[in-house]
Amino acid sequence: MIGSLRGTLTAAWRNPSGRSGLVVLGALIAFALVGPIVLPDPTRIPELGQGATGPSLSHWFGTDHFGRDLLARLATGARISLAIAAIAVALSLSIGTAVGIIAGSFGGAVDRILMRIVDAALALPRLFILLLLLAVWERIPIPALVAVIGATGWFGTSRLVRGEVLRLKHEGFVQAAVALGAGRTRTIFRHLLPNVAGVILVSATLSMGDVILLEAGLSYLGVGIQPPTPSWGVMVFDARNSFTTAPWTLFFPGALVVVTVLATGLVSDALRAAFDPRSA
Amino acid sequence: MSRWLLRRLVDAVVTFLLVAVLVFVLMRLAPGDPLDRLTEDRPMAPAEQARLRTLFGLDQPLGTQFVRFAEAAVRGDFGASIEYYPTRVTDLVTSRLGPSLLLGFTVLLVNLIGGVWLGVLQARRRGSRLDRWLTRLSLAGYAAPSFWLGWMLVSLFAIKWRLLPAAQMTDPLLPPDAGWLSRAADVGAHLILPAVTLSIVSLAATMRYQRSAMLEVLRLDFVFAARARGLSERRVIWRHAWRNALFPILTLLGLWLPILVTGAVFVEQVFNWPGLGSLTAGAVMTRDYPVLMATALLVAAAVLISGILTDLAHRWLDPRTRDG
Amino acid sequence: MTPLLTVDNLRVTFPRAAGPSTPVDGVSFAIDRGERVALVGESGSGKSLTCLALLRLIPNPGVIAPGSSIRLDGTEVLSLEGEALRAIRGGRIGLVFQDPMTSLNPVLTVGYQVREAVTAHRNMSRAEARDRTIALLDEVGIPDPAERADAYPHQLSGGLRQRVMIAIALAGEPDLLVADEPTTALDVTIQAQILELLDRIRARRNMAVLLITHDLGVVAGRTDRVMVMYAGQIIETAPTARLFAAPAHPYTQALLQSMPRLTGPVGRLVSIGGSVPDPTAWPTGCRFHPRCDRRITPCAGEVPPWRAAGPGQEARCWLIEGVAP
Repeated sequence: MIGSLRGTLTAAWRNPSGRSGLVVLGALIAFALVGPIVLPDPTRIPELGQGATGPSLSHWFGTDHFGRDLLARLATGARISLAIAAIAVALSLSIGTAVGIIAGSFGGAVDRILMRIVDAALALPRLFILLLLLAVWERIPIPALVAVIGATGWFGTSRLVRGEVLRLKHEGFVQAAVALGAGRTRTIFRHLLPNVAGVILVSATLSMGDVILLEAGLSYLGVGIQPPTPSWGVMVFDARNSFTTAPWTLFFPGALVVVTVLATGLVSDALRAAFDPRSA
Repeated sequence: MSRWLLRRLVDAVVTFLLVAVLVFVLMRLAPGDPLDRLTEDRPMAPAEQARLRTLFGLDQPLGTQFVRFAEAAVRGDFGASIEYYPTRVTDLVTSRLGPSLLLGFTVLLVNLIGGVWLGVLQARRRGSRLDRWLTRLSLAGYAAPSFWLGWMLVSLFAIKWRLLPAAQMTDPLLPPDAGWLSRAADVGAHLILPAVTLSIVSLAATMRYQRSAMLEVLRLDFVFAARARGLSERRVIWRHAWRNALFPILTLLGLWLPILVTGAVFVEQVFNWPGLGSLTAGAVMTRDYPVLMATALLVAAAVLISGILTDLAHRWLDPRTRDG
Repeated sequence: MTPLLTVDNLRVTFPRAAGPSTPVDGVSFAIDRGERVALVGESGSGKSLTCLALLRLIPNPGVIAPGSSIRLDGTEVLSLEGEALRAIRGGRIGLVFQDPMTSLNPVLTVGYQVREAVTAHRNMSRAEARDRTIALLDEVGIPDPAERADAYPHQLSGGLRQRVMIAIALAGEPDLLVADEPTTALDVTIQAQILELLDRIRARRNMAVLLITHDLGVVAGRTDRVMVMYAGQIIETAPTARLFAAPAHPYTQALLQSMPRLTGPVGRLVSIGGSVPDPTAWPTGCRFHPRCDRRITPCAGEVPPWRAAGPGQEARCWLIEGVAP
């Protein structure tokens, strides 16, 4: 399994789009890790309020209307956004995989009940589920936000994994393992899990982008990351009317979201092409 | 056929009831009750708070609250809006439906014409430079936060270049005796920016689905066979291949509605479009939870109904299931 | 008299990561008007690609290599484009595919599919096209053709579907009917019926027929001449009776030996060891030499030339002593 995973990553790296996606993601992660350390405090409002200033040598990306360094705010925003995406996606993939495997391998009433719940959850767009939950939540702490985003993203994955489990159940090697007396858990972990790894990986990269957009949207609506903590969504909201006076304050946070989500999309495409060359 | 439809309808109703439970549970999952959050922004006397709690039934036990909510929801009555008190939520939602449908159908049309055509083009030129760049461009559109894209477009086209109106659906300065033609032109001009924004963020999904559905079909024998009998390429692509690639696209329409609705929340907020999206965004910002619950249930109903409609269309278009 | 179809040095290449692959590599043959010819080979020999190439239907990313030539009545098919190429497809050369289930469009009625083949090559009114469609369905032996025209492919049996495919191939009044394994996907009992139908139609219309098959048993008694294909090349061509009586190439001999016979002494059924080589790396010299149990010194190194082996019979093998043609 590790071998095939490495092979897939190599194939994604060979794909020119996939490689540029991986390079950009790498750069963004470096920016998120190093930026907040070397750049000025993104929340401190200078006493000599000079308002928004354009890009200059001391502030490469300019400052916002409070005079705060935009690059520093973007870096902290990147750290928060990427961390939320990574943790929330890991959480929802674990739940989704577990539910999918349980539904697929147990079948019967368990399967029916689980899938009925998933149906109901899928009928409600994820944004609405989160809005219902967050609209009444007073200043939600970031860990709770991550947990909530993660807990609302597994429905699609569980369907996918369940389908894959059902397909594999009828394949020779799994039936052979069961015929040889392998227990249910053993069959799941030794045979099913490695085979659904591909589906999971593609869906993981895809939902990274979705979560980044979602978190930006929630923060924009004021129910996600709370100021003064900088986040890309809040930065867009604060700068929404400043384009004519300080275009950089509106342009950069949104453009960074585009770049990040685009990069995850390119990586996801490359991975999918590596798993299923016919789709490329 | 009718038995199948009946089963499908019963399924949808059961799912909808589950959604209703879900909506109720979600609202009550957060610590505190809706009024706590409300009073954070609006200082209120404790007596006033208690009065409001009684008014909205928040002093009752959870079970009673749910029964009340369910009863009201079945009657299509979600009580009064908090922000627009005492306007009934139902009236509020009804008045916002038209503009949302106008925007939604415009974007649907752009997707069905532009997205489908581009997706087919990509499939025909699979692996070409054009195919690769269209994939990247559409992906970039998908990657753009719709609210940011909206504000960028407003800033450029409405504020900087003054080409198009920035907000609302109609010009308040339009004389009341204006003819229907100038009224339609006015709405059309207001529609352009929101529709373009929503189209950009939603087009990628349509293109990708169309492209991969078409690729699946283009390698099938009957496409070769159609070419071998000397048919024009246009006929081979649209009559033979695309007719068969239509089924996955129908499935997409079911999946696509949530994307559209999600985008509409932000885009309508940016452009102050008087639809359900801006109503929802406003309800979030003002913690107007009865409105939020109503729009969520309406969206779920729309998703479930569109699912049934696409299944129906699927069965009607596919002769293999038509007589089955 | 010039032949109806002349194929000269046909090469089909596919770009591959490991270098170009050439599944059809220098195929040349000619077919006369009204002639019945068989192209025989194992799967992977390049025979199906050869017949797709006749209509310029090589699937992407494959290409017909420069230097190839396909002439129909003196017209170079490889230089045709658009309208003129479509006139050949179905109009001059009709193609019957292997699997009628997958080569008929599942969402269009069979009548519609025949009708569009009719109108693709002739301008006619709707009523005329409908009459012509029903006449064609009748000619290929479909009972109640007027009624069946409104059926969808899934509502017909496999045999009827293949008859519909033949009707489509006949719609443009072609001079050459190419049938690519027309019976492989069908039940054994239906196979003979379809082959007989092809025979009858050919006789009535005086078309040439190119029958592509992996099964020499199908060929006997139904064709005038057989071409045997191996590893992207034709390696032997002979009048059908001659080929069965005195095969010249060791590969043809092995093919015949692997075929069960109903007459004569019951011999051993021989299967050929090994499999068809990979088109990215054809063997040097004679391409059959790695599997040939009679190979001699030059086989591995040098490409054998065409040598006459009997009346109308030629083969590419170093073992053949020059016989005057």
